[in-house]
Amino acid sequence: MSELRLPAELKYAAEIAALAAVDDAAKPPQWKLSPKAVLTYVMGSDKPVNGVSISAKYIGDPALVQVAIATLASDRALMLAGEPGTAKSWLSEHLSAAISGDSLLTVQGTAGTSEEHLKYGWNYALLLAEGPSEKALVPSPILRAMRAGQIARVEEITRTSPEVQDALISILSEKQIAIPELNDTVSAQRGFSIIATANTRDRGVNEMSAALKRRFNFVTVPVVESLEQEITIVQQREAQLRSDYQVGVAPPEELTRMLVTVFKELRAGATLDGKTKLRSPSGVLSTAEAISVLFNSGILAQSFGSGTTGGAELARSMSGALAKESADDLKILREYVETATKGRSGAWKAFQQGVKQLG
Amino acid sequence: MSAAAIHLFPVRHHSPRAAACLRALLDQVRPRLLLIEGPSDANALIPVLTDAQTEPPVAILAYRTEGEPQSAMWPFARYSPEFQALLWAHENGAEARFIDWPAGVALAVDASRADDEDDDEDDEDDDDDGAGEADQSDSADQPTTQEHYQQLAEQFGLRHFDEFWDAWFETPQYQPEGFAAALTAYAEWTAGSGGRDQSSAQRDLYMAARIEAALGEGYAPNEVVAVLGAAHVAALLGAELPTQPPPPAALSCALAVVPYSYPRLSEASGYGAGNRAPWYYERVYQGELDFARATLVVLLEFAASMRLRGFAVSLADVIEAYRLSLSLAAMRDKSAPGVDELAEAAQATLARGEAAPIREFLQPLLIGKRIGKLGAAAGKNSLQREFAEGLAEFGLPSADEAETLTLRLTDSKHAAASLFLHRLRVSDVPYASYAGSQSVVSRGPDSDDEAGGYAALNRSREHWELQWTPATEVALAERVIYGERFDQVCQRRLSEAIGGASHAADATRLLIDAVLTDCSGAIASALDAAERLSSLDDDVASLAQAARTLAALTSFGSSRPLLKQVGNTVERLLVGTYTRAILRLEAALGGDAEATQPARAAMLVINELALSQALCDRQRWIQALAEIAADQSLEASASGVACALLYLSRELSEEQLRELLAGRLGDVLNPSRAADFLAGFFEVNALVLLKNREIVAALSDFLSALEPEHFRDALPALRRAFALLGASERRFLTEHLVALHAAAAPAAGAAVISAADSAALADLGDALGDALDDLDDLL
Repeated sequence: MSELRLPAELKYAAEIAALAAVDDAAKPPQWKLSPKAVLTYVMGSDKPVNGVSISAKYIGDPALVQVAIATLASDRALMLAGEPGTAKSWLSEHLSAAISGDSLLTVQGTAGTSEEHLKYGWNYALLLAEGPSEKALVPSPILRAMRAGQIARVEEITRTSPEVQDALISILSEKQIAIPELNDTVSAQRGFSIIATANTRDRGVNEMSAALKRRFNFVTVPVVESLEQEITIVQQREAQLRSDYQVGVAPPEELTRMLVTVFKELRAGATLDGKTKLRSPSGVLSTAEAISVLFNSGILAQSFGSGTTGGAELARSMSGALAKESADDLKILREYVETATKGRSGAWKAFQQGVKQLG
Repeated sequence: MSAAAIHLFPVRHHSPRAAACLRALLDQVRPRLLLIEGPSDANALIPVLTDAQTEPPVAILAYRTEGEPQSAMWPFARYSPEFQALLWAHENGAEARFIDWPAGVALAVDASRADDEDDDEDDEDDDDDGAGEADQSDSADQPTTQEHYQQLAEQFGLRHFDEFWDAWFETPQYQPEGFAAALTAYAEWTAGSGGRDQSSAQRDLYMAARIEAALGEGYAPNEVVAVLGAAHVAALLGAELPTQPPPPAALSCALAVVPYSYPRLSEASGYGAGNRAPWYYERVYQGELDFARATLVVLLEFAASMRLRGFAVSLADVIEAYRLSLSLAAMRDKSAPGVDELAEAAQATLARGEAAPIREFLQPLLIGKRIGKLGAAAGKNSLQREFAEGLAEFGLPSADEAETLTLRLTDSKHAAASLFLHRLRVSDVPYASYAGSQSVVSRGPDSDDEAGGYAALNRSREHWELQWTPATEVALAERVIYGERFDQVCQRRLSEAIGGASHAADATRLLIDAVLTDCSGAIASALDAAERLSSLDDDVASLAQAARTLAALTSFGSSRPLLKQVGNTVERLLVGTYTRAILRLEAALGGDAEATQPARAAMLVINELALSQALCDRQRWIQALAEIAADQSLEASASGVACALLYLSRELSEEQLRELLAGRLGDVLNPSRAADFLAGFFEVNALVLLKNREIVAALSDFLSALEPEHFRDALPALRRAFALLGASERRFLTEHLVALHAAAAPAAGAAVISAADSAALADLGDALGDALDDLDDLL
């Protein structure tokens, strides 16, 4: 396989097949798995199912995933809201992969998203040559999901314009898309639903209307609170990235713990013991960001360093992640290292050195 | 014949399912005698509990009548199986008896436990003002710890014990026998994994003996039903009960039925102590255990309360929330939605994913505000009567919800209400808490504006926050130990406190309390104590406090008849305390700046007295200040304070001040002392000081004369000193600095503002900007 990144339904095909093989619970129409099997797929299982061990895709409160699954089985659409980097899209991909076996029916919300992206467009060469026909129609992922009774995903819905959001309202309430050019209306098959994700930091960019909100059930994906949980997530996802990209070296556990501690302390504006107050950088310090910093450090170590990831590499990759929003954030990092990490030993020493050399 | 032969019905103390199953069983068995877990000396209170006018939640309260105040409570909600058992017996002409050990024994066990262990859990019990829910369940049915319950829930894939309980016992549609069997099996299973503590085992024995005694009276086993905590049932059904040492001797105590509240019931946690959603469970019980329906009703109410607050929520949202709660229950293998499903479904739909509306509006709905009511059958003690009369007379609220009240003390009725509330406060009855005397309530009291502080006598206004809780009722019952009326209780409590006072400040504070609560006897003893302590006290802070309080008494106490008679004593005491405070001051000014902090605060207090009180010898204070300001051996920041005070009271001419500052600040070899001096100097009134250009000039000279290495040493202290300055003070400082340097010469400015070109210096505006930058760097 040379694809950089496989969709979840292919990457975890063995797990889904194993769950389906032993799944005798009632399934909502068109679902590949029963709600409980979907839950097991997302949360993972201690015991192998049908000889295949099920990895945990989401690490956190199962109640939240249960609410999400129970919503998708109803006529409401699901809105995953949360801070950036809290695994909203990740969760949405795995839910659609497990439920409809296809996570690729995705509309990426941007300022340039138009109604065509939600409904349908035309192959203009064919349209001009033959006039409107089913062949000339280019269906949107949502239209395809409606026809097949699958789950469509709309990412970053708050980035889209109010007009596009309004178009979504009619799709969600009518569960139909009219194609007047063909004098036809496509009605959704059972099993159709939409998972949207919304970034709570985008609030106010394109505030969703009350009418749109009413079509959704909301699940707020929280920022990971527990240090241990976040370490597990970072370790697991970094290892995945490394195997996908076939580069980098495995970081020592101590280093991951240090990185997550730094992120947590800067995010909270105080040290873990609460004794020292800190300034928080303006940039986003999400779990996803921590994963990418750790992955980057591994590559740095492999290509330009000693071959083992250490504090120095971590400091360098972190400067890249932090300096995104403002150069002031680097100053905050330096201050943090000087005040809060004084007296910490082990990997911290190299990290302190590394941050000092950032210039 | 053994106890196991009768109908033993296991319960959790607050459980709608257990109550409903119990009633069904009673209708079926129709016993002649009902034996119920509860203190056996409370049998006389059963008619009060079953009285038609009694509305739960209510509680049996036992309080000690001798020695340390202590109490225990046995709360009942409408859906408590014990309460339903009492009602059934009342309605069907059967006899009901409590069979647990007497309340006095329970109190003795609690007391010895509190003595033995000083761990956190016990402290929580005691914190409740003696009203700790140290009830039967606490000791009986918690053979294991909270962690054990948590592990248990997690074993079943649930998040906490309450969820486990709902899923396994509350929501399934049990028949009475099935419920009893399931709960007993559960109790046997947990008994196997945790140990049974001694007092629980002793109570097993006690109750077994009472059951056998009842059988000895001639009741047939199938005519008797016993309603006991599940762990007790499991023990009685098990093998022979192990022998135990005899329980401790009963403490003398009295019992009463008192109102209880749902907010309080929801606070306690653990197996039997309370539950998290009393109003929800009450609705479940009234609605014949239809959890789905109760969930729907609460969702409708929640939607209505959100709409009232301006949220756009529709009936469609309620329908979706209801559907979601049902599918969540199904996904979790529960037979009906419980509190968890209700809250999660409401958050995903009605609250649009936000947690705040759930916390702020849904939780209160689930808990409810209900307060129990008692009919005439419940006797009241004299304090409870006086309290109720006081509430009625002054129109004060009696709800378990905080309410603010403002009293204008110029009005005689309001002044009487204030006296009443101060008496409650001094009697330590939790009902009214003082909330300041500022014109705006929300600002709350100042840091030194205590309810009984020195400023209490010249207030024209008092804010109070009032809230009735069951703890109020408990305290009213307990305080009878001290006296029949509130003035007696205050008198006793103040006298005890006066006896234990070790500082003059404490004694004078109690004197104020005695005045506020109109306790003539306590006034005399507080004065004696103040006199004795002020001649022994070496603590300057305490002496200064005491003098301030006494000064307040001489100034504002004349309107209080009780004080008129002792006016001379107070005045004499004021002079003595004031003088002693000045004498002890010098000894308190050794050490570092931190150590002299209380003494420096005392200096400000004494200064205020010296300037405002005719009785206080001003000259003496000025002299003391002059000595402190000049003495190089004392802690430098205290000298700074003295210097500033002298200047502000115009005892120091500008020239003298300049000299003094130059002398202190010129100490370039020991710059940290100079900086400490400066910090003390600014501590008093930086604004007035910095308005003076002479002072700023002296400062500037000092700073520019410092060698770099000395400057480095002094920097932390300097930073501290300048950090005290506010925005307007910094502005004055900067203006003076700029003016000084501009006046001198451009060259002088260049010395301060390095590398600035002379053209820019000519422009005053630029110079100001640079000087500000300079200052910023310094700060």
